[in-house]
Amino acid sequence: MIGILLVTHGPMGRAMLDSAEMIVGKQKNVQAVALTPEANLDTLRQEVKLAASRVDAGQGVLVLVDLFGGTPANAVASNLPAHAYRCLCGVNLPMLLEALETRGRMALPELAAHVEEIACQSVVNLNTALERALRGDMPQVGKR
Amino acid sequence: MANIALVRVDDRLIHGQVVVKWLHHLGCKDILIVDDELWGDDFMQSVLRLAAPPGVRVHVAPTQGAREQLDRIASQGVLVLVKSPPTALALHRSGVEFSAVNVGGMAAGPNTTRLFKSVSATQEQIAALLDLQARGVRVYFQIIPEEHAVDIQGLLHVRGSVPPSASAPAVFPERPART
Repeated sequence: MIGILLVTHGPMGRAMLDSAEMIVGKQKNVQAVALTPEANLDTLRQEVKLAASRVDAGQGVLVLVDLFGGTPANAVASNLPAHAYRCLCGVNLPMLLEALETRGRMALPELAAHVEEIACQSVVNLNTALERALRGDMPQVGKR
Repeated sequence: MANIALVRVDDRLIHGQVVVKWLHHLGCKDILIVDDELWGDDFMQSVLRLAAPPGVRVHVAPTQGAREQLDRIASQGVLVLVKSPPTALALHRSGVEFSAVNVGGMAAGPNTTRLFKSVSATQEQIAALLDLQARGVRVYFQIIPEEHAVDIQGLLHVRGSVPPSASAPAVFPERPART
């Protein structure tokens, strides 16, 4: 099973995981690492490394980060050359749900590409979608 | 020499607060990171360059090369980032002119004292801040632009890091705010 690691500013990752588990049930090989106000790039780097090794069951780890350019993303980036992880920034609930639901069916590079695609489809303007639906033109949105 | 918009001590260098808050606030298109360790680490330089928003140029210099690097940057406003106060002090000693230092983030660690919100410092770092102040540089704590800046005067007395009022109660907000 591919491990999933969330790395975020504060408790967002943990909370997102709780929300996801409300929908898809308790999950294994998943962990959330929070950047605390007291941490810096080096301490977070170590935490990410440790947490990634904990969720890695041998098939690799998909790391989901909240904000590109933030310290969580920078800490993950600094770990990437030494580890075969894949990382996507801009995590949202549809991405996390898709990763959890499909990680048993594909290898890490495909999972990362698939979740990236879901991410791009996951932001939906509900007004536009409804207007289209009312015109009989079904909205082209992601599976969820 | 390029005009320095702000000298900031922040051990995370380029990150959310700097990108979202300070760059917008200052309107800077150039960041100069002065750090000897980073100067020798091409990979981490790439990571930090990537972290900057599009259109913002990231320059890196060793402490002793910062002055020359600033001469080469043709910009009206450079955000200078350093991880620790001794680097800011060394910069000032090397002839880089600036009148103020913004202390915005220093993680707690072994032998650090918490000075302000998410700013903790060792005695060596505190000494460097006081040295800067003695050189006529205004040293102030401010995490994001919307907050009030708190000058170093009084703060160190309150924190008991500097005699004589070591027993005075802490009056600064206890809750750290940092993104």
